Amino acid sequence: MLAEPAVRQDAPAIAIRGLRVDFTLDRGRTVTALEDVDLDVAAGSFLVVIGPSGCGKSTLLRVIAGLTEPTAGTVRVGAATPHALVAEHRLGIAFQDHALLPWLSVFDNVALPFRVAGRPVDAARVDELLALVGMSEFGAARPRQLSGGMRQRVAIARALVLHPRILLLDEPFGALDAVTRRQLNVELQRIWSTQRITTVLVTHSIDEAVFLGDRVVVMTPRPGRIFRDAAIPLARPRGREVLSEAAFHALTDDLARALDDVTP
Amino acid sequence: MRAFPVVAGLVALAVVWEVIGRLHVFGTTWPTLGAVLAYLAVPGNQALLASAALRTGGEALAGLALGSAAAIVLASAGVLVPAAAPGLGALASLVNGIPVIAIAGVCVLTLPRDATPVVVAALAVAFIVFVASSAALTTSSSTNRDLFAVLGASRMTTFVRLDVPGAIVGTIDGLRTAAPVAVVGAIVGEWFAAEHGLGPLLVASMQNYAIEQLWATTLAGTLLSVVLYSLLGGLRAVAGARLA
Repeated sequence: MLAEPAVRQDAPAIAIRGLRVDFTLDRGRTVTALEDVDLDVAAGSFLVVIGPSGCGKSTLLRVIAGLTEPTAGTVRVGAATPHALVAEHRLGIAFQDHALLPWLSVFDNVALPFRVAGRPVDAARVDELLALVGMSEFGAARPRQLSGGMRQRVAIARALVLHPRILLLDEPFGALDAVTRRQLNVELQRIWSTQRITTVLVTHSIDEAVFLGDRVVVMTPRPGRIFRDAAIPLARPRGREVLSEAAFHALTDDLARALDDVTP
Repeated sequence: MRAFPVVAGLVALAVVWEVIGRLHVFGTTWPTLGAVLAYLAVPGNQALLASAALRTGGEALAGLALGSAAAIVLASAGVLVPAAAPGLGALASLVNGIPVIAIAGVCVLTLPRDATPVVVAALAVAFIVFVASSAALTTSSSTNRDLFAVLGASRMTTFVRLDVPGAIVGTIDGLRTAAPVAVVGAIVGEWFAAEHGLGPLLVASMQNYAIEQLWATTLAGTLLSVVLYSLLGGLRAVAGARLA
């Protein structure tokens, strides 16, 4: 066994260099989803990726998760590849589809990462996460008995249960109604502030991006490139009142213009 | 209230049967329902049919269990070793292509007599369960597969914790479809190789021109299929409530 190299505090948690992803279509045609993407995500920061549909933002997330292979370029998470992080069971992910297993209770769904990793289930840790997402009373419930927003809370708890080094969120609230979505964004902000896990969120919503992110990256449509990289200097923790501040609106207006510029 | 259409259908069937029998629409070999029921009312006949139906039912169940177990193992192998899947599919199709009658003939020559009905039933159901189970094992959503991949699940873990629980209801559906086929397989097997059961009773009835007994035996075979089908339907409902 080699000793794990010491992680330098100033080293980025995610480092992407010259990333290109091509997809092969029928009859050998290829389409370039991502091109020339260079991106560093600082440890303990919250990065949001926005862009028009088909800009490859979900592909970017899939590459970081090791689900899609780069055609060219490199992706490092910490000192290793995404696959190494996956093998250590240190990657947390939540999708727009909650992906809860219908035959398991809420508790067992949150405990699933322990079982998949072949570790004994830490019931106290599962309970702690259920409490964090406000689902303590629903441990015995089945996913079909829950509302859409509650299912996403459980999916977030599942993503966090093994103390992930990186948290990836692919439009986790994209299928929810506006009121629930806003509520869950406030919740996610609170949860994230207690954990400070390096997070990458993909979303269509500019409000969501500005409310949650330390940084917002705007991508161009296919091939996806980084068009704009904006810091969000709003203080944390951010409560609901941030949504009505002038600084918040100035930032969302600015990003909306950037999105208009890249949308054909 | 839900039972009403079923009861109405059965009553209509009984009336049509009786009318055809009375009017001799299909000649004298179509007895009235009353005549068949009169045959069934005789205690000795009841015992004869019940013992035959139990024997055939036991063989059908054993065949269903044997054939399904083999089919589920093959379908699982196809999922765990994707390279083997096309070959396994071809093997299953080939087995399915052999006529049941021919299988029975070969079994009589190669197997103990008692085993023939069970083996014929097993071979008859295997393809149905293989197709149902193979399809059911691949029903998990792409997001669920992505989730397991990101959680660092091995192929075996994904199989045990995602594919298998997701396949149970679909596989029971296959078993249910296969149940009446297992009864047919057992009866065909009995024709060739057995002295007891519904199959020999059918043959004896035909040879002795025992029309009411022939129809009563057919009725017993039908009832047997319906009972197996319904039991598996109940199992499916329980599984569906627990797993879906």
